[in-house]
Amino acid sequence: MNTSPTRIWQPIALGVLVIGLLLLAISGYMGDFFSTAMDPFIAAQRWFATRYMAIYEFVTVPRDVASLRQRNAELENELSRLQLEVIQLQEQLQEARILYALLDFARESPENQYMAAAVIGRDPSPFLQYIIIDHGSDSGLRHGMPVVTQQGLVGRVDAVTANAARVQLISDAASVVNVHIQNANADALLYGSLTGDTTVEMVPQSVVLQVGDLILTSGLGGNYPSDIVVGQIVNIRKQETDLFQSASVQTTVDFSNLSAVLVITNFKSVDISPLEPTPVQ
Amino acid sequence: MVVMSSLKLVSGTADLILVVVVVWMLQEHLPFTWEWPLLASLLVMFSSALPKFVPVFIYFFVAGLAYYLKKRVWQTPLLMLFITIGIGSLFENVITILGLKMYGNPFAWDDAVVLVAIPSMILNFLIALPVHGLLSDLASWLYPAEVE
Repeated sequence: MNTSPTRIWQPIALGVLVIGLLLLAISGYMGDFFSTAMDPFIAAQRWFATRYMAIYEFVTVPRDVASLRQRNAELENELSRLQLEVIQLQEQLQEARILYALLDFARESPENQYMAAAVIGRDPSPFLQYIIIDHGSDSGLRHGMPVVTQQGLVGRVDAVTANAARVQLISDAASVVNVHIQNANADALLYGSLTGDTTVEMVPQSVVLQVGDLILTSGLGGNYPSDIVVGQIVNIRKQETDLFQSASVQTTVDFSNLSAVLVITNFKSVDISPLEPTPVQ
Repeated sequence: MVVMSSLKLVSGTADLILVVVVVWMLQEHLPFTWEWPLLASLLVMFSSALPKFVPVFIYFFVAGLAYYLKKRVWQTPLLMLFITIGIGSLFENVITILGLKMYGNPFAWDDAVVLVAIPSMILNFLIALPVHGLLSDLASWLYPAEVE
């Protein structure tokens, strides 16, 4: 059985051709050829694919829309719940910050005993500056106890029920607090007003007041402990013809945004009215 | 009430309770009921440092005035509303100022009138119409007029 030379060279030539083509393809010389050769196939594949996807979507989209709507509603509910949770957590964080600040203040003054209370109401009359807090006689609160925050003096307990108390703010028109002007080293009286503004009165003309002077409670009169911050002088009114000078005071406590306060429970106010001189008839 | 207290004009605030009592008493077909002014009085007596007689005087006066005007004047509910709110607010401020002065509150008269009383009256007028709309709907829903 003879083997013709053509039959031997055919596979060899084919192998060389394939290896050559592979080498050319690997080395990148066949890129243009392949792209030209494959373009019609790719175009045909794209044409079929777009038609197929169009038909597929036409058949399946209504079901997808329903499921998407349901999913959307679920996500909206989840979003609402999370937003509510965020708001609640922010409120709790705010409350915690206030309570931490009050706690820090209480730690700084260990000589006093404090009862923390939340502000739950305000006096409905525009003529009066009072707040209502959520602790009363059941928690040991009594008439006359001073009320403070970490920022300074708030007022004093005016009326008490079992579970609530009404606090007269130092900005009330009927409030008078004995104060000490720290830089000037002088005592004076702090008055509230109908508008909630506070002023120091009865300051002797000889005292040199300056804007920014710190006002503290003096402890005189027995209604408040001494050295509680009240505010700063912002405007001085001095006339040579007057016996005393006065000044507007910016209180350190923002009474419009009070949410929690501390009641000093171990301070007993002193009623000095029997000691006050009465006019002789 | 707290929301209305936060809504300030100068130093005055609207008295929502007074406006509600007036509007309710002005509703057609409703008889005079002393429970509402009593409830309003008790509410303010317990939450406010005002002398105790002040809210009683105020709310019974405005309730009586509204009922009296309703019996005397016909077909002009808005006119009656504003007249009653005006007289009622004036009476409220006068009684409050007198009551506080009687108890030794040292504020100045002119401050009380200019900074608190007049702005409060204006705010009462401003909230009167919305409250009237709401309570009229509520009254007609609770006490529907009889069809003859």
